[in-house]
Amino acid sequence: MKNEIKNKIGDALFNFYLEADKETITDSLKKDIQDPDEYVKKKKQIIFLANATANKKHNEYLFELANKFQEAVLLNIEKPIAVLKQLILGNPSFALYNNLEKLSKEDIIEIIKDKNLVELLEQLDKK
Amino acid sequence: MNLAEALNSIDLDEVIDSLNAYAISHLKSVGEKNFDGKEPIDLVSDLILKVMEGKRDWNKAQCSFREFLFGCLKSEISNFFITNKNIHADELPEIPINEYSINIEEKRKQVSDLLKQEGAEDEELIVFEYWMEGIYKPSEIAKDLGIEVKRIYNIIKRLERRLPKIQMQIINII
Repeated sequence: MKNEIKNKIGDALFNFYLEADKETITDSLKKDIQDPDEYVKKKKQIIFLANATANKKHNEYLFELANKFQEAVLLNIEKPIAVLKQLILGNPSFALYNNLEKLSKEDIIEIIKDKNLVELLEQLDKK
Repeated sequence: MNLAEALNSIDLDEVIDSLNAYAISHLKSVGEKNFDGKEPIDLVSDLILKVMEGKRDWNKAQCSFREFLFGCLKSEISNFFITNKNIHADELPEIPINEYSINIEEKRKQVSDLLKQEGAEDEELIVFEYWMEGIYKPSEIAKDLGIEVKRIYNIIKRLERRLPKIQMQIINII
């Protein structure tokens, strides 16, 4: 069945597992999980590692961005400074901050921490 | 939504179960129990870490994080079978009739008839016809039929269990 029918069945089952509710999935897995305790242990490890990796990645982005902004302030590069000023305006804690050179790396991290860091990085790399 | 936010937007425990169930289903469809010694849950684990490390780029995705993870898993499984195509047959057996002489409609009917012979009920055949029409989402099928989606889930589970039996029949015909 190396044809459309096989692909259609494949797509249908993909959509089924994508959409099926928790009860249906749990019921489906019951027959296939040999060692439930081991399975739960593995799931906990995955969740722990996923969160740890996501946080690590997030922190890496934060530091990379903070460095880029600090460098831009030091070298007086116009466009990243304009982006930073925009971000400062949107942050009530720093809205009255006029002297960018006095911003510490921690301050910059505080300003950008809730923003879309990947988009910001791309924005800076373009400019 | 950045990766950390995306991760927080889903119930990861529940999504892991769904991904694992999908991987197991795919393995069963090709008559395998694991991915060359690697359990389906380990494949899911590797995939999630790849996503978290940015090796699979979530930032360019135009879908929900759940859909993104499912898409990545489908791609990982496909890559596995392409790499191991000499070991595994990543496809259901061929219909043992000159393939060029019959069109897709005839093939559909053949598979539908085989399902019927295997005891498929009318509702299973109806869902199968929706699939053949390119309507795959259980919620869409349920809406169109005016029934609870849970019932469609149960029908699909029965249909899924029946599919390997059809494969055996086709092999026997050969």
